[in-house]
Amino acid sequence: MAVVPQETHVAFDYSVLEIVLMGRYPHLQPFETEGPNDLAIARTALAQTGTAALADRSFMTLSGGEKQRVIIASALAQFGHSPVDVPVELAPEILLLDEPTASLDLGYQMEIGATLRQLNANRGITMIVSTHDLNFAASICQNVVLLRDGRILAAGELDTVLNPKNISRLYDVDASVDRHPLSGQLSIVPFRRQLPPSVASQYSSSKESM
Amino acid sequence: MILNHNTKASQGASTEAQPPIRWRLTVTWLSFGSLMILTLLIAPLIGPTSITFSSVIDRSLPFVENVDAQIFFIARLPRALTGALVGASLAAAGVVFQALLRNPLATPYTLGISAGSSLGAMLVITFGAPVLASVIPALPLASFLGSLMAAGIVYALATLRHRDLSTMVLLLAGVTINSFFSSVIMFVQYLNDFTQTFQTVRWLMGNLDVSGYQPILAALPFTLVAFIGFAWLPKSLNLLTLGVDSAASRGVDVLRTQRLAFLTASLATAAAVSLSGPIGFIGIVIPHLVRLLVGADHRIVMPASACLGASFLVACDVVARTVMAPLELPVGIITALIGGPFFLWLLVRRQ
Repeated sequence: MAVVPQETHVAFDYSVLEIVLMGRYPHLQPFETEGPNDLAIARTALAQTGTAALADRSFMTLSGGEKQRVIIASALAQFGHSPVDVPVELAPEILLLDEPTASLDLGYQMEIGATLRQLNANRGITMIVSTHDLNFAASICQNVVLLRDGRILAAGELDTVLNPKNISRLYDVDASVDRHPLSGQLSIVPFRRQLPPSVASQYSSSKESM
Repeated sequence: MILNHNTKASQGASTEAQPPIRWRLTVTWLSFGSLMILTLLIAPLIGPTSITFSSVIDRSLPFVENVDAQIFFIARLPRALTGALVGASLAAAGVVFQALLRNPLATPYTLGISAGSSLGAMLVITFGAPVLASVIPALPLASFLGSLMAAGIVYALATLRHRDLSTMVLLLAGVTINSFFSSVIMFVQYLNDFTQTFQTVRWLMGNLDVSGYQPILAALPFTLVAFIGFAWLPKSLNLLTLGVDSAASRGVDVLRTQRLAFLTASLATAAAVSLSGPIGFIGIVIPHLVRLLVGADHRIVMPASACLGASFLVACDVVARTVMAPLELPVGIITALIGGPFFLWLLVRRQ
């Protein structure tokens, strides 16, 4: 299991390859350096996230989307895949992603979404993603769990759980949920905020007084 | 910096089987290590009396008659070794503090250690040494204890409210302790007589004016303990600079690493400052210069900084001894004259 944080600020000038090789540190003895096997794993992780060409670049000079893909590569490098490690059945490849797109613009969000879908399809990695962005969730998830105040509101397959009623209970907004004609994915468009009764009455009374 | 990565790329472009770290470590130890040894051998040869290395190691004369060897081993080598010890400690402690605070502009003195040591030294200069001073030299001891007191207060403040070590509180507490101790120093200074003020100011300038090997031997155990800690840290520091959560998810015991980093770097700085006074800029100039040369991996930056810090301070001391000979300038003036403009260049370059 490996973790991808929301955003990674690095104050020091590491190369991309160095950052990805840091994913191998948990497998090394205190004074051991990375070996050929670790390098091969890092190269694979770079290739699988489409960042192989960036390997010798400075991490600080990358764009937001590139940085996040390198961090995902670094997390992938943390998975076993060495002859002495335990088999995959005993150490399942699970990636925890904490709002991986929260600080990215729309283009980079789609870039990360595509990378995650590929990793799931080609390498069979299970991913648990936390996000506020329903459209991003709809573009990458098979199953969703809706959480509000630490409690589960609904859980199940994407198509059944992500409906206007659940979204209303989750965020207090009225939203339409349609299948997008071009992408074929669910598309969520919020159109009205449901104000809590106390706020709503204040709002209407102030309007009347005006 | 990009240049640096490009050269790496060109050297390792052909589908390499070994990660770059191994040969880079070898190259680092060989180049920076031999630079340090070379500096240590050449520096004692330079001075008001010129001596040559061949006459120093001339075995045909007994040591008591070989004047060159006596100058080398008794008069000048202790000073060069002190410079090396102080330079290596300050540079390595700078690396550790910068990684711990995740701020490349941190120095060994950011967290109040120099102010604590200055306060300790000034109190001894002002009020004289207690009775046991006849056994142990009081000035270095007081400065060492002052450093540890400042580090202890800062550490206690940073852990007071939270169970974990908050680097933000650490930084703020350090800055506050620095200015608070400085004001205490100024207050006592104001009441001091001329000689005491002169002595204090001289001490604050930082110099390597030691005689004999005793001061080095007294500081060495603490420095050794600190450097054993430094040897354990680099991989954890690499992960820590990516963020506390990333480090924790990769098996780093974050709190233990932060504690070890803070304690060892404080100990190394305290020992160095007790030897030489607060010599400035080594702890920031050297790590930056090293990162420009070899990249940011702490496994390389740490030994390279220690060796280059040692060489740099010893070289600066040669300049300090000779530039206005027979007058000997405090070496702190030289390091600040070189370090100040370099630091400004770093700041401007970032934009």
